[in-house]
Amino acid sequence: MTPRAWLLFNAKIGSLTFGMGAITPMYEHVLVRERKALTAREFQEILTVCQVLPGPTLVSLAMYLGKRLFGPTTGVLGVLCLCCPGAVWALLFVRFVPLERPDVRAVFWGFAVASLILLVDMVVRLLPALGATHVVGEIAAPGRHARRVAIAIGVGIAVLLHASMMSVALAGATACLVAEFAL
Amino acid sequence: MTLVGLVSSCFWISLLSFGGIYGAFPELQRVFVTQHGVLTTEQLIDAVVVAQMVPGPGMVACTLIGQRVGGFAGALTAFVGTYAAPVLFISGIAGLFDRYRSLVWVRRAEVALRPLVVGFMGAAAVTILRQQMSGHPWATVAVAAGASWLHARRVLSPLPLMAAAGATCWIVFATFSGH
Repeated sequence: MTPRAWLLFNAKIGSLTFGMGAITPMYEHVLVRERKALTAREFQEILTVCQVLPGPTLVSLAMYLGKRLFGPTTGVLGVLCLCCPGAVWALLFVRFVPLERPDVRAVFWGFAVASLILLVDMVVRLLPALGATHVVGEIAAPGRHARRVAIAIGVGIAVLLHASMMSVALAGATACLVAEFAL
Repeated sequence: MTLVGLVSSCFWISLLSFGGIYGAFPELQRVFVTQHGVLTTEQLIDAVVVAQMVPGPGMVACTLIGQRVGGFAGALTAFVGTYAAPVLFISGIAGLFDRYRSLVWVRRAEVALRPLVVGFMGAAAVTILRQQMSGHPWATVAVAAGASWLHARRVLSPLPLMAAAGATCWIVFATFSGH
């Protein structure tokens, strides 16, 4: 794969593909199966690292892959190709759609309710993952599972009480890592 | 809010977010709605909803927030702040992780940090639910019940589901307001 092909690929998925759930498999398909630039294991390891690190996973993944395959400049350009089309679409949307009109507000109100359902579904699907371990198919001990649930509830309550994200993220990440490695 | 404040806020929110735009939602609300008062919660939800409807990463909502705060310059500033964070972070540590990424402890850390994602996203769901229920609680429950049923049965994928919910609300609005 050439740097030019990488940038075009990012521009294509940034223009036509919605959501991380759809975009990540496209990276895997092109880099692992089509171009054979990475092995499936390498891709999975890079994805895991991007999920561990704070920050938007998709952008981190694009940067990591671009930097690793073609160097830092192409990595940054790849991120721009991925992110610019959506930003342009979004700005055009709010420029030309009269969001203050009552009938448009009604439509957006429906959109927000549907988004809420999708978000709740995402959270519900993540819950079983709290009871997993790093070994595929293995279930965590009940005590470890309970500690993770308690941390998730604590983080949620702290956020709802308007604690700053930095303090919650730092305290929460520390609690998570202590619960995993020290207890 | 100044452009420097905007770029700094977007940078830190992006850098510390777990779970994408929904993970960042509570902090966006705390900073832009509660602390600086440059947005209402409704406008913030609008930005997140539009971000779901356009292609690419959901963090584009930050660009829309920037546009609300400072026009085109604000949008550009927020865009740079949001995406500079992961770019710089990954540039700085990718080499280190490239060396250690296959170690078991990295995979264990990913599993261990999942409660953070669940906590942030759960809090975002509660905040959006509160906002929607404050306006039309019964209609929210009715539309949410219908959308849940359609989603659970896999009748509609996410974008058509949003379109159906929006169309339903528009029909209800047009019916009861006489338009």
